Amino acid sequence: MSRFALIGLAVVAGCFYTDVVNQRPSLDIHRRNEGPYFRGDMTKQIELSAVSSDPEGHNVTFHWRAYACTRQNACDRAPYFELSEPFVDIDVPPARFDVADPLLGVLVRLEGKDDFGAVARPVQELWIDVDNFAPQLKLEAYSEFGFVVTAPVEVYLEVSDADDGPEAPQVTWKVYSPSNQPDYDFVDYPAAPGPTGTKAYGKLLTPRGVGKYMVEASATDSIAPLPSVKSVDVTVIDDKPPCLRTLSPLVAIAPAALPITDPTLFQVHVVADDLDPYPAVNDGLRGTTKFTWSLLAPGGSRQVLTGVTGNRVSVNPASYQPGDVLELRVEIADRTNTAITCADASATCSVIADNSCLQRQTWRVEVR
Amino acid sequence: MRQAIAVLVMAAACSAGLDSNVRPDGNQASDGASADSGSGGCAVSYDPIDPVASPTLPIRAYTSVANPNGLVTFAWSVTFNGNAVPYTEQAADGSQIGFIAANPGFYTVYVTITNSFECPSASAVINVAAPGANTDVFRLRTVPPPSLAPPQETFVQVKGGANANRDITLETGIPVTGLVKNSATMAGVTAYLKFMPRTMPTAFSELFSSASGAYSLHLLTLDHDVLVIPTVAGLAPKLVTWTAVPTTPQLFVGPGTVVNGTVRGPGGAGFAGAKVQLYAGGVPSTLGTTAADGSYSVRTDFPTSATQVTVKVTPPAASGLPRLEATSNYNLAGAININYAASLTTCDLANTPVRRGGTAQPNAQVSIVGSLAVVAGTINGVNATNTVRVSATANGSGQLPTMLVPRGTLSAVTELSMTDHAVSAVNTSTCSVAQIDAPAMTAINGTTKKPDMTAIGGIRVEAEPIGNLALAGVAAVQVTSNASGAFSLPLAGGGRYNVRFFDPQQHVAPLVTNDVAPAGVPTNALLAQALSLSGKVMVGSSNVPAGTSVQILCATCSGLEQSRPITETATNNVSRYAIAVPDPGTM
Repeated sequence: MSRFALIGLAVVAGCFYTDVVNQRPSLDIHRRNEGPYFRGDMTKQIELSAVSSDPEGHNVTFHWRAYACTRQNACDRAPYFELSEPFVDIDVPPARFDVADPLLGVLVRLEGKDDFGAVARPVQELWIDVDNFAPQLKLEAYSEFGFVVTAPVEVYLEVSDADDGPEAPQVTWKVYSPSNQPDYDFVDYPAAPGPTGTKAYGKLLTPRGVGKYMVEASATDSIAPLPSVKSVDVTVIDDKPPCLRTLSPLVAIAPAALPITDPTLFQVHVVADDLDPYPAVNDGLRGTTKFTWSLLAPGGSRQVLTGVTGNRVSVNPASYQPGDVLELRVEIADRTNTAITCADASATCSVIADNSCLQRQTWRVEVR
Repeated sequence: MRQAIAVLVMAAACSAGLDSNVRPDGNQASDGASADSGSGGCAVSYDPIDPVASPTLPIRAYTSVANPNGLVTFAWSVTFNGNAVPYTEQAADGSQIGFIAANPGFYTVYVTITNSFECPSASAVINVAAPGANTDVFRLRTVPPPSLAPPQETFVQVKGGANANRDITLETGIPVTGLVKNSATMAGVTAYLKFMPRTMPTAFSELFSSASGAYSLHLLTLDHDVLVIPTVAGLAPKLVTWTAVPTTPQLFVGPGTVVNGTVRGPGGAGFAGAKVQLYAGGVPSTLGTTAADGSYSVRTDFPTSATQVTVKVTPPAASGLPRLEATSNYNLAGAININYAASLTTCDLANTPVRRGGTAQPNAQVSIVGSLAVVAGTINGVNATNTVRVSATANGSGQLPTMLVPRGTLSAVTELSMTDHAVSAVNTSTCSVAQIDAPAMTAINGTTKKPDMTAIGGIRVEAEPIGNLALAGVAAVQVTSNASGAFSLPLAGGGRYNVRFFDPQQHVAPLVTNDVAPAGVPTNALLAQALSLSGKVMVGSSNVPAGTSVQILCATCSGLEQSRPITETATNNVSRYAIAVPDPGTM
């Protein structure tokens, strides 16, 4: 029944007059998206819409307020968000504004009134839990030397925290050494800056024994109940023996012998080794290969060329009789000085019984 | 020759419009100065082609885009030693920039291009020379794993005063299999094979063929000369042509030409045990040994173009006679007779004491070496040069056993240990040698220094014996300077050496002093400024594995120096190398 009809009915009846009572509208908050919502997450807002019901069907206007809170009863006095629209998208700030506490929830209040000023009661409140972004960690271990005992391992950690920023998390380190508890050094190491929004940390692990080490990095933002943890395994191995790689001239295999008619340089051009390669690497850490040369001439015994310590030696055929067959031998060692125990008659030797990694090679040379 | 190579290199470089690094076969090795391909087959070009550092004259870099997908934009960067270099856009569409290269070295130009499917990015490394740069030419030798590609060499022109980027692109070559056969019987032959590219013989590959004559290796697609030295009797070594197209499948060797002759001693009688070998055109004959009557025979198969034949005769060590050698236009169809001079006499040094400072030296090894001032013999009438080398070991009392040596003014090289040698004059003319004196070693103490005259440690010092010491078979002496740059080099007092100082860490350039007595070894060894050549090594379009050998060698040397790297390095695990080369300096 319309308002005018009621008035008309009253007039016609002639018995009484009463003003029509404007009833309050009622409100409800509808969530247009679901959580979780995260502190400071610029990629996801709280999306809400207001729903009203007015008994008289009057138009209702809305007013939203959102408060940054730690708990439901611990919110900022002033709202950080206000808007008079039926649909709102509310940002989630990382922290409260009144105090330096982190934001753990958002209290949303919706008020409304109809065109005649009837205020909706009760004011609608919605408590929205806000989650905390835990620190994100990226941990890597790197070594140019293949995780060889005594060789330093560079450990890089990148920390990011979407709500608190990369500087906020407190980082702690742990090193779990192998069960036999070898010594190790673990010191700060300058780390190259990481990508924007991250903080880089560097550590240098120098293991003194072989085995599986685990480097663990923890970061906490003091909000998450547990720290974020990442670990990386570093399996440290023994220093592998050096391997002869590139030699010149041709190594002849008995009974063949390389004919030489002119003074000839016998050279080792490349030795592969994790810590003591040849040619040397200019990095201040690696050393270089030790060479031992020996010569077996007809009618003699093998003589170590003690004055020759480098990667090459020359042989002058004029020092011998044409037809003489010489054996020129090179043996290599790295800092571990693993003994070459093969029989003297063996032209080649691998201390690890691997023919692709020789520490001894012998040129058979025929003087022409 | 060196100038000729330089001209060749420069001419080829100019014709290619590029810096140096030209293969002798005419192929262009990849060079950092050239415009490099981008990810889509496009390129950054630049001019001038040979830029020189200048505070005012800009270098223009430009690129172009074909078949754009829309509005094309260009984002450029120029870096030098890791630092950004400012640039200005030189074209309205952004496709050209100009920048000032005030310092010599290599600049990296990179461009990212939008809306270009074919060319999303491109880059170039531009080598900028120092003003007034001197140049030097070296051989750059690269030895990848044999299964990947054959060893390869190229001449590189190094400009003074600036580091340079030089990528190395190796040819994969082709896998080659073949057979070495006896041309008379068609049987397979075991032989030593040395494949030498005709355009760069020093980049040779060696191997032995199997018992069936089979061989397989990787070779460049170039024609090669192959030195085949059979290991079986009755066949003569031969230089065989191997062609890449069509691929030569078989290498034939045969009995060749038999050359006979007789070796006669000073008394005119033939004697046994002398070794005779002939050489011509880089090919040896078989090795002949004289019978009791002095007769010998060898087999030869020399290149027809080789007219000069060298004959070498090595008498038995116990004869006391010198070795003879002569080169002439010998007629191989006739006998080649070797006659020691009738005037040549020997004397026996038996019981001669070997002493140092008056103290007998038991078990000392003594080599009497040198060259007689007289004509010691003739080879088919041609006067031969002579070389004396007779060795013996003193007894426990320090006295020599029977040791026949020719009469003349010679030298004694005494080896007291592998690191203790002495050189002294010995005059056997009258057979009255009172003693073999072994003067004490001379320790040359010095310091290795950087160009700024401060000490540098870790420098390898290598003294290579030459002359009499080398003839006696004395090995090189190698020491390393300590952290303070101090070194002590023990040398034989009367010896002569080629001495090299080089830095394994590649901070400074090598220092070489040839043919010096110990007193001539620089005690303030000032190692010169080095330049860095660096780049990537590829085989075709593939990275080479770590450990590929990269060597810088003398462009014009012969003998030992031809194979002795001036510096050497190896690629790392991202296929890059960096090597120090002597700085030719600037004018």
